[in-house]
Amino acid sequence: MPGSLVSLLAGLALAGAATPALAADAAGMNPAAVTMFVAIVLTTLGITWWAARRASSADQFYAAGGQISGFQNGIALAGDMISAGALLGLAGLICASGFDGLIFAVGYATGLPFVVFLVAERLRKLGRYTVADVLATRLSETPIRIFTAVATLVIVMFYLIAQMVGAGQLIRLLFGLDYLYAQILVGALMICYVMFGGMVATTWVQIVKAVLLLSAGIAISLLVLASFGFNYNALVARAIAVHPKHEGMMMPQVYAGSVWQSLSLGMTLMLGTAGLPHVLMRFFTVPDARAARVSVFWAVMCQSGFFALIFVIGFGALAIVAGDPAYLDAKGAIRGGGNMATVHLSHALGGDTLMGLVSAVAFATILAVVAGLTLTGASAVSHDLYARILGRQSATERSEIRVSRLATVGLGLLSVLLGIAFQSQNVAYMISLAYAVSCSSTLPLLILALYWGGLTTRGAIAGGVTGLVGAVLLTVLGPPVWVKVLGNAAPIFPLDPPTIVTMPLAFLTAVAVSVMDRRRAPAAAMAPAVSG
Amino acid sequence: MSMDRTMMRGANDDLPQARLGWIMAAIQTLIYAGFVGTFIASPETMTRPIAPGMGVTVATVFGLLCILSTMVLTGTYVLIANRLTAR
Repeated sequence: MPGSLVSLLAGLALAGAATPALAADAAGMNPAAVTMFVAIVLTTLGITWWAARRASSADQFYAAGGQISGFQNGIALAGDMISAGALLGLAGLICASGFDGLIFAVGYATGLPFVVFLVAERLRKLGRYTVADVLATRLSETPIRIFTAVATLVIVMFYLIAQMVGAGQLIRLLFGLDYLYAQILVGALMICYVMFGGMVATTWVQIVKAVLLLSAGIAISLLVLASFGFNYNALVARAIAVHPKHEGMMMPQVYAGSVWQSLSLGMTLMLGTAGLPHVLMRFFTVPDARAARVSVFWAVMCQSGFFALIFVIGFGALAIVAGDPAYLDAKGAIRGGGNMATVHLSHALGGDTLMGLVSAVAFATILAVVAGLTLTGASAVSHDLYARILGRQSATERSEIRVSRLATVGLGLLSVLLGIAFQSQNVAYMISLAYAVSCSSTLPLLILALYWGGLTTRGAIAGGVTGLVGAVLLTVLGPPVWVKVLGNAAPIFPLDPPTIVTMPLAFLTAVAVSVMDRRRAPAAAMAPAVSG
Repeated sequence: MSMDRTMMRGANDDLPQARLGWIMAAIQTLIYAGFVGTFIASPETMTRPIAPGMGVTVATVFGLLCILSTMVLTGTYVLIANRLTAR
């Protein structure tokens, strides 16, 4: 088994290295960028191989045996938060529509502290690996596990699409590969990471990547500031001069609609994090509550530090890249898609070497986030659906890990297909859709389960399903899918994201059904109160 | 209102740092709501340059402070909570 694993990994690594190299020759791409890129991908594969030899038990596979230190876990958590959406999407958004990108940066930054203050400590007291474990301590197990598994899969899919789109555009730009092949390459690598490495590998890949990403972010920011004589105002003034709307770009487009629209987006960005299953899972990978606290401290420092750098990188991309015809296509748009602004910026500042480094870091970022997401999705299938429900009698630790590996392959294939469908979207914006679903499904249940003794199973399911179906339906009927993917002229539902409607709806339904439930059958519905 | 109070008391019983968590969450919400709310209520305030003739706007500074506040609040919380639970 270990022998075949090694040869398979080596084969994949070779395939991964050989294909782009050939394509690079064909497209005349710079060798420095390609070398950097291949080196970083091989390093992360090496980490996966190293971790694979350690991930033998289910506890190791899902939660790294609870033995990751607070500092390491914090860096990995920050890695989860700073995804491709942050590095590529935000700067692209600033280039396209000005201050919008910063609205997202500020909103995403406020999410994690909120989890720390209200959710993390209680969650840790109750759970083992997943959010479903937590809810199942209070409520009837089977329906809750089915619901949370489905909600987790929906959130993970939305989030995955954003990463796949970013990765596809990056590979296409760097190697001249067709978008379709780029998608398949990313899909194959991500399946490889998760299948063999589990949580240990995912955590280490996140750590390596978070450190690289922060260093690259600081380097780019310093170079941007240096090219404006360390005068931030000069940088912003140049960005204003370059943007077609000039001063008008300092007014965010996302706030130009109705008040409800603005409030809905504001809520989504702040509260969404608290319902993200792959982020919540990170609170179970450390040995105790103190380590969990230490880890969130480092996570917030890193992620907020990075979001602050976007104030420099984003305006830098606008000022330097969007004003330089070398980086624009015939129509005056950014070459390779709006998400590539950061990559062009690094080329403008540090030539091929920095561009190679930044592309490689961006790609490693995507792979790491994708691996974390896939692992979360796969554990929803294997741990919640298979081990606890479908195969309750027959499931063994070994068969559970096997199911989770199959689920990984399934998720990988699905995300490749969706990555192709959504290929022209901004990735920072795409993530806000995952946040909207999280705000309307997992978050209300989690908050009620942690803080309200009156929640019944029926109430939780009714509220959760209403929120989940509502959020997905209104997203499909709203601007994100109805207009931007299906190409209709006007949305049926105007708000994007729909959180301001669906989140209160989920809370109200859950509370109302619980209250009715308890009135009808008080004894049966009595849930044991949360106790330490 | 009375339900809120029961919740607070219940929360304080099993976790000494729970009240602290609520306070920090309230401060964080206020700061962020201030950012979003000012944009909604008075966009012209937010898009105004911080000094005449400058490019940097009020919103740019407000946004950066908002991000800084996440670091300060989390740091304070972790420091106090670790001290509370160490006793």
